[in-house]
Amino acid sequence: MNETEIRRRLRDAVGDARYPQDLSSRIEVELRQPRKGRPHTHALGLVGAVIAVAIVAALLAPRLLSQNANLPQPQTTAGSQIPDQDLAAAQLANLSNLVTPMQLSAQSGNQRITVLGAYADPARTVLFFRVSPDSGFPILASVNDAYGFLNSSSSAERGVPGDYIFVLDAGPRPGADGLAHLKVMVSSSFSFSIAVEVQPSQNLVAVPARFSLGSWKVTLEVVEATPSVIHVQALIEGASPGEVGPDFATLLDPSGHGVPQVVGSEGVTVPKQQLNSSTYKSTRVNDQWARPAATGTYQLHIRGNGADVVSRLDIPGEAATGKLKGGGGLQPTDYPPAQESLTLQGSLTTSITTGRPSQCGAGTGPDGTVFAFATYFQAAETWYWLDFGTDPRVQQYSGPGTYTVPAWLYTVGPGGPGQVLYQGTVQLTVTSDRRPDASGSVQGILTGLEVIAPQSQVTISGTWTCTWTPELGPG
Amino acid sequence: MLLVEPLLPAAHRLAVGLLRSESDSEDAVQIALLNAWRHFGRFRRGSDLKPWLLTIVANECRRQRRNRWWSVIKGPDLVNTRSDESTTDDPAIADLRRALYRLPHEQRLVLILRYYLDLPFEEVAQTLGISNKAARSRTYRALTRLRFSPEVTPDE
Repeated sequence: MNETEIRRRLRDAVGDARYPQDLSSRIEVELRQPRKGRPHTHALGLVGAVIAVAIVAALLAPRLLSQNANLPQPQTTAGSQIPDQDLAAAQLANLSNLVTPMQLSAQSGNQRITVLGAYADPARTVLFFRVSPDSGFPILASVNDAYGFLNSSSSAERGVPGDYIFVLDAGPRPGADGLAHLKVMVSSSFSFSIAVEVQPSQNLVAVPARFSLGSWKVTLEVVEATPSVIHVQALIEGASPGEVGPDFATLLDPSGHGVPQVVGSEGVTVPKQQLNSSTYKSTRVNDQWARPAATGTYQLHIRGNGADVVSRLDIPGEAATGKLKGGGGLQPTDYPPAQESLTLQGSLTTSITTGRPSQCGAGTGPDGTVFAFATYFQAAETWYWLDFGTDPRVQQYSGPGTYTVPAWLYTVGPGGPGQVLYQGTVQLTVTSDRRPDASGSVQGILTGLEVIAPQSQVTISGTWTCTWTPELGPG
Repeated sequence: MLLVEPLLPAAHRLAVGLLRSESDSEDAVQIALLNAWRHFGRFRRGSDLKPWLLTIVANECRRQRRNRWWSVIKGPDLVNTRSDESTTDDPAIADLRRALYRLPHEQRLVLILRYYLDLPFEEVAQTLGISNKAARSRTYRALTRLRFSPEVTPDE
């Protein structure tokens, strides 16, 4: 019996499914009902079907963007006031003056969509929309910055009737003028070009930042406080996304109460085409919590694979408007200069003769003894942060010698290291680790992350030095 | 609402295939869409939407079937079979129907996805959250349990 016959017999057995033409309108009525409470801690709010449009839009974005001449062009009108309810839904109630107001409208058929404003920081991009007439369905947008599609989980919230807030769980990358230039597509019918300032974040120090959960190896790649959220990005080696539970990370305030989580997503670390039995066992987690108002030492509970680790986080209080601007933490130039002889070649080519080391030396952590080196450096008037050090889960640091170690190259924002651009494994040779001076060499290749440029590579080689000061870890 | 239309027929057809009740199917689709709405934070952009949504619909259908033991049996709103329901049903078709709805949910689901929704094995696998090979294997086992020829080799 072939599949055609099987199909015919099963359809006879099940019968016809007559699709009721009014089903969509009945669902629409149901969805228009006011929401009762907030049943889930994640940012909520989209009908799956609407998602399809965004995905299609994302897939078609390059083509659609090239056809913008055929799309309704946005109109700008003076004056924009974003309702408090919209701001509160976006977790931006106290940060209204960090939201760039705008009035960009586009019309397709009888529907008009207006962009009321935008907010961005390294962890999230928030867009405020007004839909007229109100469709009852939240907006789902596809967002490109100057470097390409922002591939991230997203969510939507309702504001006042007709207003929808779209939140992308990733920050845009600013251009040379310091603004992020975004192309926003809503379905395939509306296109907007907007510029938004990317608010700075403050890098937080998590102790420990690398640890094991049973057989899983966890690296906290990003721990930062943006004006609106606490953002943690973790790489879990040894776990597939399905094995990472929804309670993987929990943030507790100093009195032990949970901080409201606004984002929790996990996914594979490579494009789908590169998935295999090995790469599938690597997961990147993106968690965000509402920015706490109170300064204090918080606890980041990480659990999974039958194990539990608590990482300590010193979090500054909720940022007043613009408070972070100018840097909440130490700036690269706050660290003493050190003579380096490092060469980067490839996607980023430069010679580093002077660095600003911010980590230097050997120390003992929960997993054993480590050696760490990290330095700020400037290339073409842009600051970067290079970080490498021994991984005690792989090999304990036992004094001068050569080690195979992980390395990262970060962007730098006003609050310190920002986004990971490249990562890889390098050969680290420690010649001297005696305080106050340490020195050695490094050799290896770093590869661009998927979100930046997956095909790009940077080769690093040369020697490094640093002078230990109390600001420098580990210790 | 226009934006929602393309996905609803598949969602509805899946619900009908699993529940065989028009009213229950519509309820299931509505609840599933509400669940999708509420849990959109779990959806990862760049993933395929259709399997994600069908998974939610299938889960809701399973929940409804589990709850049926105490539910009031509803009126005769079963979907129409080609042979105008069981009184004039081909006995073989009636047997097949009974056997199909006695299958465990996972096996019935794989058959509905493959043969009632005409999904390729890749989408069946994505909906079930299993590998393509496992989807084929599950299909084969379900067909065998229905006493279809075990020699059947699902083609694409």
